[in-house]
Amino acid sequence: MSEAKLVKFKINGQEIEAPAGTMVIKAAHEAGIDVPHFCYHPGLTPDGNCRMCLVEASNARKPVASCVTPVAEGLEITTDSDTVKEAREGVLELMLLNHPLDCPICDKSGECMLQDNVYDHGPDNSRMTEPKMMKPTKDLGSTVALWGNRCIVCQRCTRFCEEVSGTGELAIIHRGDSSVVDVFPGYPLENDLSLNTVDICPVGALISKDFLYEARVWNMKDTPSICTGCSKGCNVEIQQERNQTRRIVPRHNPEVNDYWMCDEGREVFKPAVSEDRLLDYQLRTADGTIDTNPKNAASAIFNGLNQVSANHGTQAIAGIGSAFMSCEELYVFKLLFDGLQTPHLGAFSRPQREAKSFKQFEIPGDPNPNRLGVERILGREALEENLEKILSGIQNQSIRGALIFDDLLDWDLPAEWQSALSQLEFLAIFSLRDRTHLPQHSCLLPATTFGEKDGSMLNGEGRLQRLRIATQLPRTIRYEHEILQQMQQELGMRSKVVPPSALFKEMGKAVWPQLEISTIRELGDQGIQVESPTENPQRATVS
Amino acid sequence: MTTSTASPPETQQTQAPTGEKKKSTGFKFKTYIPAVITGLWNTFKHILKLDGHKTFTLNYPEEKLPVKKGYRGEHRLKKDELGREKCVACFMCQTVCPSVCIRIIAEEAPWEDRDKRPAVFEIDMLRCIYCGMCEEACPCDAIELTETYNVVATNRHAKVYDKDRLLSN
Repeated sequence: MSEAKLVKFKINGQEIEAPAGTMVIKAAHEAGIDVPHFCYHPGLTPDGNCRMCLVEASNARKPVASCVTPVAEGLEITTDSDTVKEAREGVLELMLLNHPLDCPICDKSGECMLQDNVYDHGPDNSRMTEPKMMKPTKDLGSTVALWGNRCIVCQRCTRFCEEVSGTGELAIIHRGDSSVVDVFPGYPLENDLSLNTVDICPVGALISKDFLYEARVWNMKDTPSICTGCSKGCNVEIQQERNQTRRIVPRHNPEVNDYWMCDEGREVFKPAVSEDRLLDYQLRTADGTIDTNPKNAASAIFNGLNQVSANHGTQAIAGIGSAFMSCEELYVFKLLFDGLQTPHLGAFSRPQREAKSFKQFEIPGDPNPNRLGVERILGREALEENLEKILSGIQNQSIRGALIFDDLLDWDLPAEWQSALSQLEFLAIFSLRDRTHLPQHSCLLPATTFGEKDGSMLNGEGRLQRLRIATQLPRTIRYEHEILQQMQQELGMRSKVVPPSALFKEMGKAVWPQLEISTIRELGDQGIQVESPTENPQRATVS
Repeated sequence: MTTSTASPPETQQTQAPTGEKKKSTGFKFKTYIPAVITGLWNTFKHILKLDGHKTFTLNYPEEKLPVKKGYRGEHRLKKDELGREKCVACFMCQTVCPSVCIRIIAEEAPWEDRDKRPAVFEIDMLRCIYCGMCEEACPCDAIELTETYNVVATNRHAKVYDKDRLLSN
């Protein structure tokens, strides 16, 4: 497409240039001219079945569907003539013939294209007097439910299942006004991308069962961020209401996830809102009582580790981060343990799984959002070799104190780690859940998770992307990087606690000196490719 | 006090309709006796209700003024003919509420004829400004403002009405 020659044409008298082969609707949208549509989706092949995008073209007698009309030299398009307006009204009146208009109880209401288009372009009344068609309401699979009455048969979902997921579960059944989307008997809509059909459904015909009746969309506030469910780092919009994440929807990024994301990623916020989330600090003091004051967390860990290092030498302490920490947290973590003069620095990661490949979407096998960041900042050996060394060190009692990060969503510490960690003299754990099965912990600290941190992560393709804060932390919790920085302060390495944006500046200079990224804002909403995805450079570590 | 000594014009007019100005400076006038008697007679007329005057005050808690039509008092969630709440949890009232006093949590309705119902429906009566917008916004005619205005509570929590309280209003 990039080599295609540019053609000049006009929309509403406005001179526009677009590569040959571009459809008129795309060129119009890029020029900021609104052309209402239903079946057209930039991520799918054009279909031209809804007839909503009708425009007048100089090379046709009747209005043409702009989503299937390629641009041509000298073409003149009119999108606001009376003919076009009349055509739109007619199309919308027909679409509303059997639409139940149950907007008050429809989950799509507020982001519904039919609602918007009827409001802007629709007729002011309906001439329909006959009773409306009744179509089935049922489950299409474990994630998606169908409200047949609402379907306008735009076929976005069926095209998605054919073109993007390649699974082809959905089809239009029946003819004429009985047409409705459905699955084949015995073949439910069960693929890992199924919830994308809900996102692209222009009406409320396909509804997410997980989000059903959870919230009204106009009450939610959006924050652009990235999914931390795997190393793909899909760009997402976190939607929260009253400081509670309600839903995650994909955000367009042609370099990473296009318009889509997987179903598993949409559940990544669940640990943050789950009932068994750890919310209180449990700092075991010398006299056996438990201190819950977050202000004492840094000194409690620092004193504990210091005690161990005074008794058994600096080699007796270990730090284990995780591949779910942001780059900034990893950077402070690395500096802190360098300051404590211990070589035992590892990072937990979730085990590799089978990669899943769809027609136009890949779900990588690495379920860790920041594995590459760990390799780059802590060193490549942190994920495996160092972990083994630390484990054997704990088992033969050469390592007596540790600070570990256990914020890997639903991942549980392996049994050998659990038994090994319980032998330690001092153990501080940042955890998402209350680990009552680790009785020996000296300090249990609540970890922060998806949607709560500011920072950056390096995805599996070497793209540095921005995490943003969507929901404020529960009042009792403090950020890990703050506690780590306070420990640095106790060591005399840092004069004051700084926000992640300042940490990013420090880190950018230290980790990617060749790149001229000075502020975290430069990452923008789409991220920056800091490492080549194809070649595999010898990755340096922070020195 | 100064006005009464200077000129009691009403008594003068009733006593002397013919306009004898000399009499106004006479003994009768100076003693105020006719004026006092006239005034007292007026008072007794009211006490004995001889003039058919109406009493305007009410013995409030026992007697109440009839509430005018359209009065906006406490809310009520209406029930349908089967005794179920009519509300379908569409959040229109919550959306339109200018004082943000309505909190709804929706759930799937267990009934055949509708999909959605409120699991929680709370109105903070202390925040509410009784504007009646919720009533206007409701597409199901499920919420209305009653004529109740005199419900008191001894703590703030008691003024956050839950669904059962609103249904029984």
